[in-house]
Amino acid sequence: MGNRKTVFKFFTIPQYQQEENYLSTMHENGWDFNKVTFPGFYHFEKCEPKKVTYRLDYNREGIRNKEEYVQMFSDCGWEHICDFVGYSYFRKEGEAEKEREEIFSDDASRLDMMKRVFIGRMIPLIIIFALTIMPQLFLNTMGYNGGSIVHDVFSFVFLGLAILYLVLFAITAVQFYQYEKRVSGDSPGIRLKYVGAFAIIVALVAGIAVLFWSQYRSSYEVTENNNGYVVEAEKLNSSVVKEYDLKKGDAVIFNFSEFK
Amino acid sequence: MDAHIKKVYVPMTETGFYILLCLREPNHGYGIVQKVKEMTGGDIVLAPGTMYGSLSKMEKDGLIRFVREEEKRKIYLITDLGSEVLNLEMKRIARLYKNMKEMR
Repeated sequence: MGNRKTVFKFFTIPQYQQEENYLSTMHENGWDFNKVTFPGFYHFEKCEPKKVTYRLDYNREGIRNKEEYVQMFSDCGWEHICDFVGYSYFRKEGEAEKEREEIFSDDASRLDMMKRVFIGRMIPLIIIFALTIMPQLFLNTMGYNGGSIVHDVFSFVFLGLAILYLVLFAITAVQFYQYEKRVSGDSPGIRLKYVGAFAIIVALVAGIAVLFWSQYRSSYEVTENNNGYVVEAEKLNSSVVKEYDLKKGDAVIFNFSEFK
Repeated sequence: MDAHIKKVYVPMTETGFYILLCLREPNHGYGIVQKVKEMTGGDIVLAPGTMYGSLSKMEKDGLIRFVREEEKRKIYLITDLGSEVLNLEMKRIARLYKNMKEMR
């Protein structure tokens, strides 16, 4: 006991530099980083305090051709520690600032890594968001007037998730923008790209919302038959037929949630 | 040479230029790192992430090709397309140098 410790830590997608600094600080305090496991447990082992530079690469092609990939890094003096969700963790003794120890030697390749991260990590999140969280949110809240605890819980969970995702997207867009600005200088083109990317996500959300709400708009038809009236509620993709025992002159109040 | 190659590689990064320059002879990534270090008197030390990314990108774009593997190191060689791009770059840099000399 006391020789190992596991810490849960959460870093957003563009925060890998904070992650590198965190691992270096831990090593300086005598905690040798062993591996990271899902969803973010960092495993450490006690060691001599040392200055060690940690670096993360994101290269799935490298992980597929692991031997050759790791060989290239070890030839250049970098020890491979582990891989986690597409990231590869490397380290080298000494301080990065003093000895120019970097795994990228030019800005173009640094930016290429950011692009790989974006494609590999952000796009799946956006897809999950658009195809599961948003539809679930709308399905749970549409035409719902309260009364069911399960329903309430689901609505809040999905609303919470939707807000969390949007905030995460916004933070990520800002962080990517700042990174690209630092690497290749600010220009209206870059700014436009990030504002545009975020606008597309918001438009996507709005689009899904319109789609779902329009589906909820139903038309009701009342027809007379031998034992009273039939009310037919038609939705775009489903129709509900319910029979009521009504007489001429009766007032009818619809509770729309009945037709769900 | 198609538009994509032109857009990405003309003009190209110093890293890209040195890789193509070295790969006129078969070599692996770390071999290129050492050679460039030697050629520039230790000023340019190409880093492994940059090297790995550039080599796989250039292979995908057909500028270099994989020849064989030696002790877990992939050996590459420049292709005809790669030579064409390298020649364009050499001409551009020669002009740059000539103009610099004339303007001094």
